[in-house]
Amino acid sequence: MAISPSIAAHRFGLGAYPGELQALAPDPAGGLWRQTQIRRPQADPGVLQRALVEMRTAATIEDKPARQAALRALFKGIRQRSRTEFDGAFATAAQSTTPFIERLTWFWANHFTVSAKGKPRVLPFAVSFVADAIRPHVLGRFADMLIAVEQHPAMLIYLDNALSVGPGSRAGRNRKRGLNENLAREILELHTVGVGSGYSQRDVIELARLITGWTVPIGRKQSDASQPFLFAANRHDPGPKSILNARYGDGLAEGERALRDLAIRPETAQFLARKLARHFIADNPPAAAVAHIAKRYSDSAGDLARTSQALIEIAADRPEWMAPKYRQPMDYIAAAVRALGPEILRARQTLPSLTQFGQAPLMAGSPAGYPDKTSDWASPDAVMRRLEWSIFAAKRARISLTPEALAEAIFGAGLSAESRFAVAGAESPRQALTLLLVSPNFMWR
Amino acid sequence: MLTRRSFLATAAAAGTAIPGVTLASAPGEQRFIFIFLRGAMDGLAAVPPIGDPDYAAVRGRLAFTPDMRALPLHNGFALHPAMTKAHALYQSGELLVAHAIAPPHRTRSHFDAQNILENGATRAFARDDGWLNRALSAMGGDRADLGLAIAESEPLTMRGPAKVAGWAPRRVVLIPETLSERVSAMYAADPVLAPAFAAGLNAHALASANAGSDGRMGGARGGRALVLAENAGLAAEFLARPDGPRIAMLEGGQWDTHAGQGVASGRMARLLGDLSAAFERIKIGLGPAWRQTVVVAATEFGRTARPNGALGTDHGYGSATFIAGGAVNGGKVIADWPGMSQQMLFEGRDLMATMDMRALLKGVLGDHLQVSQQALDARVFPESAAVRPIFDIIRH
Repeated sequence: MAISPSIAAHRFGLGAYPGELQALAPDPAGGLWRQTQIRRPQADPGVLQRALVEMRTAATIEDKPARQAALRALFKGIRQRSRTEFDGAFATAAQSTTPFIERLTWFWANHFTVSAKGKPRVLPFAVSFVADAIRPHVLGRFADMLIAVEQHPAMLIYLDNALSVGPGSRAGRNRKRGLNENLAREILELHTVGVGSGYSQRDVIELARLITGWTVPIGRKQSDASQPFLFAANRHDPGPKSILNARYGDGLAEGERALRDLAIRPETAQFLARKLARHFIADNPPAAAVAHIAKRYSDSAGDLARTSQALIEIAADRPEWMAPKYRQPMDYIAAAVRALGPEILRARQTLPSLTQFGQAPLMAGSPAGYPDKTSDWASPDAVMRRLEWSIFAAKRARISLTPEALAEAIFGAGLSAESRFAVAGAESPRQALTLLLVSPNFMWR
Repeated sequence: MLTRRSFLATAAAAGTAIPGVTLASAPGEQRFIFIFLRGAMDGLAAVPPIGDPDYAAVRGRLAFTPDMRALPLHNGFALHPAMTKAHALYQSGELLVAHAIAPPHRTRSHFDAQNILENGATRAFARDDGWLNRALSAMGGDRADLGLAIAESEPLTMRGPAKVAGWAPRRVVLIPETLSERVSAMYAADPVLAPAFAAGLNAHALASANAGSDGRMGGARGGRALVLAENAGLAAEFLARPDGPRIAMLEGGQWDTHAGQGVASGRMARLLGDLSAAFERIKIGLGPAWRQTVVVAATEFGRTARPNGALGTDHGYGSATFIAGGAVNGGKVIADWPGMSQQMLFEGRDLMATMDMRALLKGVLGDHLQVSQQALDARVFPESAAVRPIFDIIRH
């Protein structure tokens, strides 16, 4: 197996810092492989607990004006806090010693997009969503991630299942509230089998019925805020359900069984394999690459460590299947931090920078998340924004190497003649760093 | 209520009319703005058919009641009360409403439906270029820089062979020529970065010329208020310039109202108020050029006719489309109204769509931008010869 240090650092990681390529050189593929052996990357349940308790404390104030004022103050605090928290989390991730795991975490967090755009109630749970529902499972079983995601308050609120009431349930008959099919639709369309895989509107409604009662304990009347997930049996729609020709009964366990069944369907393997291949292999990956990943997924019953290893194998054994990938904004800024140091980020400006680049974290415009092709990110405006950002980033950089030596260190043998010539011919060291940051080498991985 | 029969009579008369040639202006002065309302606008909330006998019962708790003062249109339709500015345009004949309309699909997937409304074909992901870009190519003329997309990333509608400048409102940063020249040279061999940077540099120069002394464009400044209207004002600034672009696309989001959408006030009211203000900003920003302007605001599909359990609405089928502008033959609602009775609702749940979005867009592109019938049938909207343009949208 042979992968160049540059592919390991740039394609599968977050970019290189000076000296990293030499450090990786003895065994680049082995370094990636070892990262996939970490079965359960750390989660931090403290964030979620705090958000739940704060929300519930505010939401249960009896006096309406006082309650509204408390909720307003809470959201304002959370918005401000989230900027600082995000800065810290991003700088930590960007300098990670297991960058492949960061990439997988970002990939799956985007696959299961939750967004506070137009839904501020999602925000208090969004940081926990990645830490608690995504990260622990990126090298575990997809089914476990799927269940953790669909039962997380961020998702239940974002796609409205927290409000869904079975028409035949006790609550449905008493309160004349009804089914909300939003989450069920996206589970099929975006999370598992994928759009166009053959499910019908009927399947959407049946799945929506099956997950009625999956909600969040922050309403005024619910009592136990120590559990982030609540199965409200009085909202659960009774009676048999049929999803993609499989039959299910009542209760929480049946809903979880349906998700486990969806997780191992061949359509799911195919859908996830295509997305992984598009992310790591090529914008338009060859069918053989997709098939290889899908087969590994199916053979391992949705083991994401084994599935991720299939990506490394393709890079090592079938380089002809790979095509250059254009760095998305998150990865672009991370690579800049890795190359030039965290000083280039101004305090509390990472989030606004990403927003300017059109990839505001936790603020995607739809549950499909951010797109993953060159044409989605290389518009004229986006290219100009990277140049403008780089002008200021280069100003703040504190580099001990000359710009040319830095370029060599970051890209090694992969440094293109155009990039080298531009950096060498700049009118000042600062301009040289600006040119390095917008060089084709930096844009393409 | 406009019945199916009376509409067909009108349409038949219109069909015999000769597609008009606008004599009032020199060629190349026509402006067109396409506003994509992403997320599926609830057409029954925006343009409630309050005269339909089944309306109140089907809409239930989302129905307008007389005390909510929906703004009256013709034929039993009304406009959401937050849309006073749009209503003023309607009254002066500068706003037309098409109802029970959808792009050619029956999917309830945002992503498929948006893709179809953008690619101009009948299948999602069938093409990687958009109908408005192909229309730009078909318009010909001696200027290659007619298109502008005001969006965070270039929307599919505007992607394709014709060059389109992209712009999103922000502070203009000074880029020294010594830097831009070196970047151009560095990108020369890169098939993606070279054209993108060239187009970006053009837009940047235009924006620098437009910017005020503090370098800030008149664009969205964050916050929730009037985001679409701010961007519409920015588009109008660009289009008003004698050497500026002529065709622009804007996007507005947040229309996916699954919960708590409100009736006369609340979330839909805010969104529709923003859209209504956007029309006015464009009119003010364009000044005299408003006479040669058509703005189409459309969405990928409508929503369920009945409210869901969370007092929102789920993904549906037919919705409404707004056509505003000084060149519009407005002050009326066009619809082959299917009604809202149980058997006329699509799959028993959604407003039926009886008008193909392409018919409307073909009418606008043909009559207003002089795109040839042949190009419209074959290239702009592939294999659409059977979809006849609607001919009486533009003032002749």
